[in-house]
Amino acid sequence: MEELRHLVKEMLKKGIVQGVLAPVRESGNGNVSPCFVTTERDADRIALDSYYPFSLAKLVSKQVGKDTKVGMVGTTCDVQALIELAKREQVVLDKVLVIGVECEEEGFPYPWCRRCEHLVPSMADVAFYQDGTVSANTEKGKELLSLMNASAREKRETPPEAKERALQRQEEDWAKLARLEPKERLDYWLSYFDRCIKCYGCRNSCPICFCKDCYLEPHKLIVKPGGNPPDKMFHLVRLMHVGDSCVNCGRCEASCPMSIPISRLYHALNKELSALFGYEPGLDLSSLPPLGMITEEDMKNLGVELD
Amino acid sequence: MIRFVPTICPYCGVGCGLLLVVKDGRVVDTQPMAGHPVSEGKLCIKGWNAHQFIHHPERLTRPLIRENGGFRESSWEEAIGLVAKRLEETKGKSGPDSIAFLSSARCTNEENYLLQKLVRAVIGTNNIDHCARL
Repeated sequence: MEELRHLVKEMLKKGIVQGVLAPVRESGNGNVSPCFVTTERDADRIALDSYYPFSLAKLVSKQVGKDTKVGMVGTTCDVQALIELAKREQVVLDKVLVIGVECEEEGFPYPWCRRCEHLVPSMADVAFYQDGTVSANTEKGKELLSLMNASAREKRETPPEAKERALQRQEEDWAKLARLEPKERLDYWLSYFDRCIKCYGCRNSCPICFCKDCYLEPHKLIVKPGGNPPDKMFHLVRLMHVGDSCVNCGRCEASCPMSIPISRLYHALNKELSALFGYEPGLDLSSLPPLGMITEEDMKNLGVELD
Repeated sequence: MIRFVPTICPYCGVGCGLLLVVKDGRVVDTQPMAGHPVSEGKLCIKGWNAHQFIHHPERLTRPLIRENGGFRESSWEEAIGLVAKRLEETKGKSGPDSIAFLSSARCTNEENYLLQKLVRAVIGTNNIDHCARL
């Protein structure tokens, strides 16, 4: 952590970036808040030892001008989210220096973290590992580390055993749902959707939800103004929009005041789509989200029936 | 350039924690406050949009006095003076129980205390309630 803070301070001192978006620990209450780090004092407060329920990637895309050079310090899911936003032209990656931090396996006590199979931010410019080492994964990252005279190791991926264990935990998480008949499974989700108080927290927190003119706004008439719970389509529209690119960051579920286990649904659907299309969100800038790219012919070739 | 300012949601008495996103001196967005003891990083739709009225063009920034079917901008001194005068008139004509007061969940505890003190001790009625029961 000290090396990471040092790197951020050097980036600021050398004027490489205007600021660095990072989670910081508040001194008074110990809460973790987002911070646009511009001073050494703020850099000393950077903390990644607990889950932060806001997406820094989304903050970069929404609040930072496209010409502003900034840094971002985040965990793997947030870095994945940034890659997905770059694919959607919401972020100019050349302008963002991405520092990723490896997560401990099951490091945070949340269902989405337990299911997570991407511990290492291999697509970040610079990756910090749990054992205190660091690697430069891109040209940008190499340039940065050479400026700091930091010794870098080889880029590393998430260990296959850890991935295997994550897949097992996913199976456990989905086992009960998998046993249900399709009708029962639909009822399971619809009864959860009945809890919804239409706070739009899931949409607001989701880094993949980037539309400026959102289909769930009342004037689009899918979700009628007034009355709760909203139409069932609220969640299904969102699922259709982001399902193929969900990075299982859990921001939706973390911000849900009614404790609807939304990330379970999104992650499960994403895994099914990934198997179908061979697409994994957030790992490779050049592979594009399948639901936006697929043609009817592709679907026929895949054996998907269109009724 | 971007600051996250911790504050409490102004809308109801629950008091959820939120962070106002301040960009170049203007409040542009709201984020829930992670780890807040009341709201635990969650907000309702009002909290998520708590920043919207701050720079809204239709926000009232000065007291208005209704006159000749319209509104006239006035000073606080004039507006409060008028309210006091009319309250006094009504109390004199129809008695203190002809007046009722509504306080607000958006005020502090102390402000609510002060209002009920004014209502009971100065006006002389128990007709005091608050907006959370509307």
